[in-house]
Amino acid sequence: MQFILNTSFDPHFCALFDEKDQLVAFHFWENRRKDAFEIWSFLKIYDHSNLDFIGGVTGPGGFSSLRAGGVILNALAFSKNLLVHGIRADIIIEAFLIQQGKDCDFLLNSFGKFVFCRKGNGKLERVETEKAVEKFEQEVLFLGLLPLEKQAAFKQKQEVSLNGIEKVCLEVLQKAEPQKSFLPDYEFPAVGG
Amino acid sequence: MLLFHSSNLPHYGLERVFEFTKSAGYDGIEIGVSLNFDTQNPKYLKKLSDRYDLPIKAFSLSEKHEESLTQAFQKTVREFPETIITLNPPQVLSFEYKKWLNKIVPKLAQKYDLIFCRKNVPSKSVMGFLPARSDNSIYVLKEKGYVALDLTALASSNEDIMHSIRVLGNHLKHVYLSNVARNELYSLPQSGILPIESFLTKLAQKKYRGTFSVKVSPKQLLEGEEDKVVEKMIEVRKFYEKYFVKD
Repeated sequence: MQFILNTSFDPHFCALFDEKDQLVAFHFWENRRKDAFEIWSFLKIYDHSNLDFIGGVTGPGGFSSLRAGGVILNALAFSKNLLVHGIRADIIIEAFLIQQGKDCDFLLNSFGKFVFCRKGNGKLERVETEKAVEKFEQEVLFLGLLPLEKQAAFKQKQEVSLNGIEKVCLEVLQKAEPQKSFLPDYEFPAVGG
Repeated sequence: MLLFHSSNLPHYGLERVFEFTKSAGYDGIEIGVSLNFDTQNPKYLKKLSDRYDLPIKAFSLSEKHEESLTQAFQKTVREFPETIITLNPPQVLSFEYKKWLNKIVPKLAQKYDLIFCRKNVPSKSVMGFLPARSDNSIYVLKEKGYVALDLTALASSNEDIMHSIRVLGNHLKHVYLSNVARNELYSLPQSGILPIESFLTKLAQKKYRGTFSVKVSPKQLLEGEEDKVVEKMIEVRKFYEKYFVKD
């Protein structure tokens, strides 16, 4: 059985897959304050005694959400004596868009008026929404992970449904190098930093 | 078998809904019995079904007027043997409807050879804490007989659609297909966060022989833009056919 968790981009979700990568259980939620509750409730319902894979999206995302998810992933890994696979959200989104045949640029949400975009070297850059609008004026972007008020600032957007994102998430996590513990990739720079 | 629910396009006449459903290549249609008299007229419904060569395979009752439509529903469905009838759980204070649902409908189904399914609906509460309807959980519905599963309603109750397949087993006879996209209930099945493709694949693997009915909001089908409506309906059908592959 394989367990994956996303407390990075919206909506947050967790899922269980069998050994043939078939989805067994899936749960999502919109209220970030309930991250820990939702994950524990999910794990209480489903038998996860035979877990042999654990993976989680490392960030960027809310500090508390990533910590809540990280604690649960690490607790599971420790109790099952397993390594944890972790990968950043932008890598998953990129793979998902390619799989959907929509090989376009995208933006991730950040605090306040900011959004994340990817630089040429693959690193994430946190820029003000207004600047991102100027920067990507000529491009069609996938904005599905931004709140609607931030999306409204952009003229052209690529419509892509998130249907099937959990499967891509699993595929990408399976390829990620496993670690002894889950290391969240908090927002950078940290709030107030 | 994929059906299209007539109440998906409430601002078109029934005739147009039949026409769209036929041209989008659906296997049949589900009639939502409502205050529209045409939906309560078996002769007219049969005429439409013959004209468009599109079978009526299921009936349901409008959520808003269920108590006042019980007699009309009864008179309509008995003219269509072997169809599925799906009914909502009773509201807390709908005593008459509850009595009708528990006492009359099972007899009606038996007498006229109908398949009676109880349906789950989106969870709402009265005064913020009392559930608006009793017997709305899939665990309770299963105990009472066959179940028509509304996927959006299930997700709005914070339950897992994959888990429901195991819980319901052979009690599952009818599925209302839709999705949830950005908190918007009854989005198109192919767009949203619910893993509908895995759900369909799993049902196909389990050799599910029940029916599916597309139940989405009119806004999602771009009601009013005729060409686009049929296009959207075809997209939904193709999505269903892609993942619900029978042996």
